[in-house]
Amino acid sequence: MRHHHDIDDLELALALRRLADSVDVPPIDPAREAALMAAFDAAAAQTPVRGTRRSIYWGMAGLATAAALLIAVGLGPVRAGRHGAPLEGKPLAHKPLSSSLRGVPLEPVLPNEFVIVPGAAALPPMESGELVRMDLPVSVLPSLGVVPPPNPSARVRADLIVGQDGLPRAVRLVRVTTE
Amino acid sequence: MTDSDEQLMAAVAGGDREAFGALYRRRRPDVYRFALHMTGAPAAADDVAQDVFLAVIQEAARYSPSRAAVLPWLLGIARNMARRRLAERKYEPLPDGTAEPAVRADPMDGITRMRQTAALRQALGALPEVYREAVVLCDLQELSYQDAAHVADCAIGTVRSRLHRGRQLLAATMRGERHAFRGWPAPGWL
Repeated sequence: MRHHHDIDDLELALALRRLADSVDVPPIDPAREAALMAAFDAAAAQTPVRGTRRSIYWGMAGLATAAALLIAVGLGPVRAGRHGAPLEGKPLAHKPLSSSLRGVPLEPVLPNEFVIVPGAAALPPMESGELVRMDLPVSVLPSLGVVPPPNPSARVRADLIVGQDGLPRAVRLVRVTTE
Repeated sequence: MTDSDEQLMAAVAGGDREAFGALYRRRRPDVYRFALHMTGAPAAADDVAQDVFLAVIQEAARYSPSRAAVLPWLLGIARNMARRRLAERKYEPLPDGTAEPAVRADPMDGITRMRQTAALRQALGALPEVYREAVVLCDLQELSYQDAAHVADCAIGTVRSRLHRGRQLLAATMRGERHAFRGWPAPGWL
């Protein structure tokens, strides 16, 4: 005959096991995974060019303006204006990817327009953030929703709007250079 | 050959995109379950899991396999994220027995078991956080005492005592609820 508290222990152990098994983990949300992978790509791209990249952090007023503008237009393409013009004066061969994550394919954009990175629309609203200028390998561009230029050895200088959670929300190309 | 967690982490620290994706797909369920048991809210658990792997991107280079295995390391991050969420109280816990995660129920005694599981989930959620943490880590996540101590950032003896106390409190609650589970434990359980 079992002691009373032994039965309780066994019952509790079984009930805990059942509780553990009761959780159905929801499948991976493609938008969340895409956002993670974009964040990984952005971080990986930063590392090898740490010594040479130029990161420009705007003042809070500028950031608040950029964030407010993004929110106001529903995270749609934003015409920037200040750093947008390609230094070579040539149009850049990039356009936003038509991604199922965003639903509606965007029209090709001018080089000085921000495009929303895949999955950004599903992220929490941007409450604060920063604008970061960095050099990126072209291989990163597809994950950011931008068709890369044809030259695979090229690097691009880009501005990224990064939210309070560290995730990039939008990107625009500034210049393409061939190595 | 499947890479171990530690091999994946090393690759992630080296910028391997595929390794990061593989680690995410492999360990997200563990992180989600832990976060769900700690917060009681699926939305919060989803957010915590996302935050954990965002942190991995930034912190992978600092991971040291000599200090902890990958899963306890991930759950340690998740613990901090979950505590932050709980402190913010941004999420409502699951309503009892309504929007709870799906339960794989046995047709014969499904209702009874669902009630019992719901009651236990409620009791677990009502435990003081340190006891709940110990029960979740050791009994639900099945971590070793050593790994649980790493996650909880405390001594192994502390984990043992918290686990013991947590089980006591749960058992007391279940004894109080027993009248609600006529026919439980179901035939074949013992």
